[in-house]
Amino acid sequence: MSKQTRRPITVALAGQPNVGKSTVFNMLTGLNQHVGNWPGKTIEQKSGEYRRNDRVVCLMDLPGTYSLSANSEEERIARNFIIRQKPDVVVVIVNAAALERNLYLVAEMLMLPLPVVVGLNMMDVANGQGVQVEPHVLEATLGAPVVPLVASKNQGLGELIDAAERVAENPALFSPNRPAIRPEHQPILEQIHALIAGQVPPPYPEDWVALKLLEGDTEIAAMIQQAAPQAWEHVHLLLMQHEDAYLDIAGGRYEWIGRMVRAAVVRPRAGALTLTDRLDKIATHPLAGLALLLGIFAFVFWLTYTLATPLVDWLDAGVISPLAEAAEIVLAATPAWLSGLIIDGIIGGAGTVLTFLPILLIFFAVLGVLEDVGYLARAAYVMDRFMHWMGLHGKSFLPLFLGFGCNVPAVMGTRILEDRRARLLTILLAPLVPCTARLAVVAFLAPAFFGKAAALVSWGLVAGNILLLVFLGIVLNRLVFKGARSAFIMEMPLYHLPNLRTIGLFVWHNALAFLRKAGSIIVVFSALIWVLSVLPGGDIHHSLLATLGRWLGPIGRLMGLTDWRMMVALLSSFIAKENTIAALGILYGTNAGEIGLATRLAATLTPAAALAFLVVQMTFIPCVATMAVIKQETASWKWTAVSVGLLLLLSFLAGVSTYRLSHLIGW
Amino acid sequence: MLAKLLEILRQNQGTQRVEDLAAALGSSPALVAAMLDDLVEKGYLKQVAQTCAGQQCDSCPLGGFCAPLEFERPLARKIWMEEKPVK
Repeated sequence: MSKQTRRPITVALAGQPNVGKSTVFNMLTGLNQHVGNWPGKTIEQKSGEYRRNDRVVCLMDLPGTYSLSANSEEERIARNFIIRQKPDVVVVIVNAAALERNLYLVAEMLMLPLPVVVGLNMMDVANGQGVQVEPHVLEATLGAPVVPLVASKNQGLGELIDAAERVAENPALFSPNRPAIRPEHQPILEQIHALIAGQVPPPYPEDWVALKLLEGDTEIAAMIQQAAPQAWEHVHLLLMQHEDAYLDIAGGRYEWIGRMVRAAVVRPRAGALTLTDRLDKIATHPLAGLALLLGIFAFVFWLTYTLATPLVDWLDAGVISPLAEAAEIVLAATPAWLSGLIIDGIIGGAGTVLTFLPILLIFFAVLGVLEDVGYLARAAYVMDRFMHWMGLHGKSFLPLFLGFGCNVPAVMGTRILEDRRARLLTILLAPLVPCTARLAVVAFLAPAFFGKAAALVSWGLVAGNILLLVFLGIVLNRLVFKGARSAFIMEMPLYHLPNLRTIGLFVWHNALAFLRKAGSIIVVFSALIWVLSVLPGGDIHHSLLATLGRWLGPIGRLMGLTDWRMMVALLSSFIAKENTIAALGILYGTNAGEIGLATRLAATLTPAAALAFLVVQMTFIPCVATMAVIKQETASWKWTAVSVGLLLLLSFLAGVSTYRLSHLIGW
Repeated sequence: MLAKLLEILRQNQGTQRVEDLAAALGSSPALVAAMLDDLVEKGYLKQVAQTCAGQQCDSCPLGGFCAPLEFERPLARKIWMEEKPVK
C-alpha cells in the first residue's frame, strides 16, 4: 500500500470537563477546525483534521462528560456519537492528578466495542503535587494504551496519535481489562440479554444495551420499550426486582478504579497531607479531640481576658469616663432630665457596652485564626460525634454549630432538616448554644465577679451549656422526637497557615455589626431603661423598673439575687443580650465603666449568686430576633411558647441549682 | 463498593469524615469523594455545603457556615447528607 493511499482514521476525543481535552484538540488541529453545533442541539461541535506524514486523522472533540449514563445532554451526545458514528478509536483524556475521578469514564468507554487510548494529561500538575503516576503500569493494568501528556506544552501529542493509529489499524488486538459485574447480577444480565436479543435497534450493541438496562438507564429503557414492547414487559419485571443493580455495577467500576490507582499511582508520604493526617489523629479522636476542643476553648478565654482587660481599662478610663465628664460640663446648663438621659442613660448604658469592644475584637480574631487554619471543621466534627453518641440527631450539628455565631441563623439553618420532628428538636436546642453576644456578656461580667478565675468560670459556663444541650437533646429525642437518624459526611480542609486578610475581614465585619447594634438598639434601650428608672418620681428605688424588679424578687431570691436590679438586667437581655451590661451600667448608677461597675456588682452579690446570675444569663430565653425566627420557622405560636417556657424553666432550675450547690460548698 | 459505602453510612449514623469512610472501604479519600458525588447524582445523598462565597450565601440557610461573611476558605470543602433511605 502506497503512503498516499493509507486510509484516514476518525478519532473521538472524550474526557471530563477541565482535563485539557480542548487543549489537545486545538494543539493537534490548529487552524484546521470546523466549529458548529451538534445536530438539533445548542451544544458546540468541534471537528478538525490533523495531517501527519501520509495519514489524515479526523478528530471529533466530544462534549465534556463524567460518564456515559445520559444524565445530561452532553453525555447523550457523546455516547450517541460513539455508538452511531463508530470512530476508529476513542481517545479519553484524563487528569493524572485526579485519576480516581477520571477513570470512571474510561471504565464506561471500555464497555463499548471500540478501541480506547488513554491520554494521561497534566502529568506536570500531578508531579507538582507529589503524585507519581506510572503510565506503563497503568497501561499493563488497563490493557489499553496509555500515553503521558502535558498538552499545554505540546508534550506527548505525537505519541498519542501514534498509539491511536496503532489500535485503529489493529482493533482485534485490543483486549482491555474491563470492570466485572458481580456474580449475583450476572444471571440477571444474561436474562435481559436473552430477552432483547435480535430486537435492539442497530447500531446499539446488545450486551451494552443489556448492561445499561440493568443500570437503570432511562433513555435506553425508553428505546427498548418502543422497539420491543413485549420483551420490555419481562425486562421491566426483572429490573423492578433488581433496583439495586446500579449500586453493584457502579460499585464494581469503583473497585476496578481502586485497583488501577493502587497499581499505578504512588502518593507522597510526606508533606501537607501527612501532616493533616497526623494532626487529625488527635483533633478528630472521640476523646482526645474533645479534650483538645475544651482546652482550646479555655485558651481562647484566657487569651481574650489577658489581652483585652488592659484595653478595656484603657477604653473605660481614657475614653468613656472623660466623655462622661465632658458631657457633664457641656450639659451643665441643660435641664436635669436631658443631662441625666445622656450621661447616665446613653453614656452609662451604651458607653459601658462599647468598652467591651476589645474583648470582642480579640475573641473574633482568635476564632478567625482557628477557622482559617482549618480547625473549626474538626471542632464541629468532634462535637457532632459527641452529641450523636449521646443520642442527638446527626443532621442537627450544622445549625447548632451556627449558633455559636448567632442563634438567628442557627434556627434558620434547621431548614436543611426535612423531618419536622428533627427540625423542632433542633430549634428548641439552638438557643442553648452560647452565641457571641452571650459570650461577650460573660466575657465582661466574669472578670468583674471572679477576677483571675474568670477564664475558668467562662469555660465552665460554655461547657455547662453544651452539657445541658446534650442532656435536653437526649431527653427530648427519646421522649418526644423519637425518629430515624441519617448520615452526614464531611470532607475536611487541609490545615494551612492563617491568612491575615481573611481574619481581618472576619473581625472587621463582626466588629462593625456590634457597633451598629450598639449605636442603634442598645442606645435606644439605654435611653428607655433610664427613663423607666427615673419615672415617676426621679428616685430609682421607687421607679417603674424597681416595681417590676421587686415583683420578680421572690424568684430572684431563690437564686441569691436579692437586688431587684439584677432581675431587671436579666429581663433586659430579651431585646438584645448586650443590654444586660447597658442595664447594669444604668441601674448601678455608673458611668465609670467596668471598674466602677465591677466593684459595685462584686459588693452586691456573693460569688454563689454571681455564678447563678451568669448561669441564668447563659440559659435564659433567646433575644427577640431569635424568637421571631422561631415563630417564622415553626409557623406555630404553640412551639414558640414551648421554646420560651422550656428555656425559662431550664434557666430558673439551673440558676437555683447553681446557687444552692455553690452555697453548699461555701461560696 | 457503592452498596458497601451506603451500608457503612446506614450503620454509622451521624457525621463521618471522608477519610474514615476511605479507611473502612480500604480505599482512598479521592475515590470515596468521587463515589459520594455519584451517589448525589443518583439521589442517594444530597450535597448540603461546599465552597461558596459572596451573594450565594444570602439565600442559603447555611450561609455563613461554610464561608462566613467574606471568608475565602470554607469550613469544610464539601458536606453530604443522606437523601433517601438506604435499602
